[in-house]
Amino acid sequence: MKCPSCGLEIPDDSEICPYCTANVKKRVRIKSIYVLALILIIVSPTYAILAYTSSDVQITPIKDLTIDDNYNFIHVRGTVIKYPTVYDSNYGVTQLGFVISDGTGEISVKIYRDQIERVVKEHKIPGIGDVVDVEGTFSYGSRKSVIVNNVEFLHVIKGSFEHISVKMLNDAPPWAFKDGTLVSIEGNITGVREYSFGMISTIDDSVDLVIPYAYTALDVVNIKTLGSGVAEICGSLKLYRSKQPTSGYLTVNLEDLIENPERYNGTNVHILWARIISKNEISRVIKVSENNTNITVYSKSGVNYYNVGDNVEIQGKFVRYNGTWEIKVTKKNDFIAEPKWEIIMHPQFSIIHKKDYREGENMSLYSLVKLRGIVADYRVMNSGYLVTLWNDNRTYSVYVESQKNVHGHIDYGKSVVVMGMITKYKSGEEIKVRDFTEDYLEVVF
Amino acid sequence: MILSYLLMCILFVLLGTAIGSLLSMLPGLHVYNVIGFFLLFYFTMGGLGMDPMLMVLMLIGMLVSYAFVFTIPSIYFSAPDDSTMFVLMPSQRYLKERKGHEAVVLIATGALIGVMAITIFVPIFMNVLGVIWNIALANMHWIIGAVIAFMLLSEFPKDFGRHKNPLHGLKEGWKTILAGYLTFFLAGLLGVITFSKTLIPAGHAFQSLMAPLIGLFATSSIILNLISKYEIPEQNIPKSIDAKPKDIVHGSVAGSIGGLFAAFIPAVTAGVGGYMSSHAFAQQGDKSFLVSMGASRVVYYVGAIALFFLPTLHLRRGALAMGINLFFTPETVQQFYLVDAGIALAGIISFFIVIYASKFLAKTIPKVNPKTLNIVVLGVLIVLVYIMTSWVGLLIMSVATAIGLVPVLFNSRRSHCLAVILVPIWLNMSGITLAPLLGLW
Amino acid sequence: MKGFAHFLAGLTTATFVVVIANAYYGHNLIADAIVQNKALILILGGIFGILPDTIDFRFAKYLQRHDYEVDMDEWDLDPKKVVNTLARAINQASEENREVNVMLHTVKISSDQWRQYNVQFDTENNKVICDIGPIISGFEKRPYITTYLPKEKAHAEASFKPKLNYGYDAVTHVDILSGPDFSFFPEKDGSVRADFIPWHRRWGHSITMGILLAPIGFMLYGFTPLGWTAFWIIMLGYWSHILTDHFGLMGSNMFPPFTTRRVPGFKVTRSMSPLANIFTNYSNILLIIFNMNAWSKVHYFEMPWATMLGLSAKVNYAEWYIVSLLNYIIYYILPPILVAYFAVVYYEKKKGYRELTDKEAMTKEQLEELGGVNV
Repeated sequence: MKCPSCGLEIPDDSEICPYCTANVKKRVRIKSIYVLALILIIVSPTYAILAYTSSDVQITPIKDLTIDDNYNFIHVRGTVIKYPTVYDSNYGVTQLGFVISDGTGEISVKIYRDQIERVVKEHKIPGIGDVVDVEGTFSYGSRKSVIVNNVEFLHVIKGSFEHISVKMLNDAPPWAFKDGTLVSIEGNITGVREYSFGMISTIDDSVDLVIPYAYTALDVVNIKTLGSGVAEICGSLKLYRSKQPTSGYLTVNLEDLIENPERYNGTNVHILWARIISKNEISRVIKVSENNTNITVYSKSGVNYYNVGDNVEIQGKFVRYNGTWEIKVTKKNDFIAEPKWEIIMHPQFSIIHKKDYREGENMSLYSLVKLRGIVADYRVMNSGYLVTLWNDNRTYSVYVESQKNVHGHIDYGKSVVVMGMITKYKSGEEIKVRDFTEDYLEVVF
Repeated sequence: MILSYLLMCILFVLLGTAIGSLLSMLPGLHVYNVIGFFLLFYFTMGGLGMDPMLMVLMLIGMLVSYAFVFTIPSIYFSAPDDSTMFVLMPSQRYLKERKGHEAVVLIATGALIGVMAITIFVPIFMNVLGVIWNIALANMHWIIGAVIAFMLLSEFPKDFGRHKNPLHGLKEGWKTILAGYLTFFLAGLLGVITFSKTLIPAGHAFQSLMAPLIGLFATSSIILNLISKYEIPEQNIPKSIDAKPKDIVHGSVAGSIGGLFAAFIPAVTAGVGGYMSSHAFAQQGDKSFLVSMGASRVVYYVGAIALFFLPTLHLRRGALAMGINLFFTPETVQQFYLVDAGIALAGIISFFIVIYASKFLAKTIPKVNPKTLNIVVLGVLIVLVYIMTSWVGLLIMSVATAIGLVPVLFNSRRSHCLAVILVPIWLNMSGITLAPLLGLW
Repeated sequence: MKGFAHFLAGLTTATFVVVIANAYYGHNLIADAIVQNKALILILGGIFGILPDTIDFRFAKYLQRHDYEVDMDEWDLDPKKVVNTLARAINQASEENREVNVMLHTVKISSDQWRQYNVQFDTENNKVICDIGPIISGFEKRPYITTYLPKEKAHAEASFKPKLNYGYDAVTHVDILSGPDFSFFPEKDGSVRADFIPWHRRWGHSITMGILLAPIGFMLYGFTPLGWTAFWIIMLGYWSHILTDHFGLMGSNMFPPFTTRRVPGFKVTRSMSPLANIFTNYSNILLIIFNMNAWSKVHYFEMPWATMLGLSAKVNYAEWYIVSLLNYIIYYILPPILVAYFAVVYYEKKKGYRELTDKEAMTKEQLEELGGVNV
């Protein structure tokens, strides 16, 4: 016979092969190992069926997420309450995050590295007020967060935008809208300032538009495009108060105050909304009106800053002074502030009417102009220049928002070319060289 | 999940298994090098617009098939030469005794059981593994340190007791031990240098270990094959194998646990894990050793990926898990099911590929001139290293080859070469920095 | 025990020392040194746990002098040479009243083939018998059955005069790696005692050596809390080796130079049995995990018994630790061991395995360690 292991000829009654020492009698058949492989043939389809049938993860209320869920795969849904922020380094944007709330709690959604590219490509960057449905890995730390490792699990449901005009917003009292109302507005970008959190642009010289840094860093909002014409901009409203009302002041109606002056004598009052109808910088008083009821307001720190027509909020003491009733703003918590509705931008806008830089002819408001002239005077401002240009026997005032928009060395008598926008300044007009746009001032020779 | 997606997944697993099986037949070529190639391609093409999960499944198919098919070159293309070896490796002994196919079947059986261990037992002990991982994490530095200490202390003298006086005996006995320590020291030094300062192009930096590893393990054994005289005898293709079920069970349990240990603890590789578990399980005999060799390799390579996708653990261990993590983060249970289904599927297919490829090779290998084969493989490796890491990589490889020849020529354990990974990672975890002493920063 | 089991036993001992030291010094001092400052103090336990065998097999082995060496090769197999040398050595030990040592060398044929021969002491008839066996293959010792020599060439006997006191299995196989050696000691009553591998489990495997090595801890860390911990880790780690060995048959020489003979072991386990090794390793690994949990700040598992009794690690550490440990042993360590043990016992009974006699086991224990694979 032949040895079953080495195949050499061996005596018929051998138990052990003399050549390879293999046991001839007690052996394991290879076919029985094939049978063993059958177990895997069962295992593989079982997992495949499990994968095929495994249902979606249920939505969890944010407040129910605890440390036990750490690193678990979760599904949450909520409204964006804080605009997206990014963390960027020399290697580009490495983290994108925003905060959502479902009414029971808040959770921050975080997206890292290459997934950020996909978010941008698939237009899945949300703005405040959008509803976000997200599945990802939960991370429990000082604050709850969910890490989106696969953009497919991120769904952004955009809200609908209510169209309003610049004028409407300027005149809107604090109670006219709710914070977070989604609006779209039409206007020209008349100025751009940079801050750590992003940019604040002004629309038609009056409404502030906050552009979160995330949008410009990820290039979903391009200021150059945005500033090139009349734009329709989407965003959510937020009431900006430079001073927050404090306790200890009685919120009153101006009419009520004037009708019952004795009752309110000496009380600290809070006027929500009134329009300035006149001002006297020397005696430091302004006159404000609400529903045709007027009152004088005295401010210890002066009233230079306020303009007739502005709407203000006032905290002060209601007193009689020289026989007339007035509000005195003198103490620490007293203030005259201008609450303003500002817009926090969504990553959506469209240019309705694109404008080109034109030379000389049309100098109407918010048109883009190209102007040649000679520097008659220039002053260095905080970050830019105020330049007086001499051209064609008249002077133009040019405001350059940032020194980096000046190409060349500016000096008296130099010939320059200005690309800019006609904007309002106080009562007059000026040419503004807006930062981050295509505007610039070039010194020719 | 839709059915067409599931079918796509299966298709990509099959594709990966096919590619992996073909490439793993080349001796000395490690699947991680091939995967590195694929990843580079995948990234430069910007993801090819395909679902990353499909790419993951393809890579897993490649890995599983490698863990099975590596058996073929390791059995058929290694030199069973009496004159250069102190003791023959079991696989070489089998080849010499015309039982190459039997050795392949034993290893493949171990690997098959290893795949079962991964797909059936690892999910069962999911929570236990999570707890153990949390406990062990803070203690990792001394655990790895203990592994190193054990490896060094367990190198035994290989002499035959024929010494004239104590000094002569010490010299004879310590020759192999010192060669082992020298290998460990040199490989560790190479590792520290490689980890702290890489000379190869930055774009290929994730392949920085490629040149040292190919040099330490592949080229050194090819050179040994070239200088040794050997002939591969005609091979028999048996219908049954000479083993008891007890050997297979013992070997596969020991191998699976050793592989799991290696997959779990950073810097510990299949060789070290298998070595330790063969000690822990008081293993005896070639059959059990061959089975455990198959099981530990599979559990180490594939188990690392299974642990990566395991819910509650998501352990990032092994080059493939790190490579996948560059573009994909596992999180859902569904992905875990898909991965395990893929592993099991690739496992069965690779098992039969190994068996049939071995049958084919057993018939043809005696006709091939082993020297020619080795020279061809050497050429392939040199070209590959040049492409991936430029000529600097070739320099590193030649240094590594010299170090890899020390244990081969002095009969100490080759697993000492793994110090190239163990030492730098252990130093890093223990907060010891040697690199500044070498003036590397 | 295999070297790995000793290594793990040393590590386990070290973790117990750390738990106690950590509780003794308070403020989580030692645990912080390990976890935060990455001290490698625990490895000392493993190193010194394996060290006794390292000393024996790397050093003590070479210090042994041989009066006679039997060195045959495949072309010159002579069983008479073996028996005559052994008989002469026994006689000489009795006549000259001194220790006589014989080394039996192995016969290597190729890189995995060795010629096996057996030596047998027949103490009743005062005979030493040698049989030349087959050629065997590698570590598996599979015999090539056609390589047996004819009976008349393979067999030889020789007689010796004194009474021989031989405590091991009658037959000793000489096959792979380096061969065994015998020492013959003259006893007071005129008989001769035979010692097998006389250099093993002597001064290296002793309580004394553990005490002598322990101050290395102070050398490493000074007389600090860490130094004291290292001191105890080294001493107890070293002793753990001797203790685990002592569960076997052969025992060790506990207090050299005050004693010269090996103290017989407890005879609880057969050290070469895979099962004993696996059980030891399993319980050691689980105990290490338990201790790591005990000293970590976050307790990943609180044992139900401790919780039931209202014990917490913060209030009374010792009580909490002991109750939890008992709970852990009974829940996790014992059940798998018992199940596996009974399964194996059942299986062996069914298959009709014969248990080795003490003498056979002792010889096996010796020979297995000689192979070097375990160290």
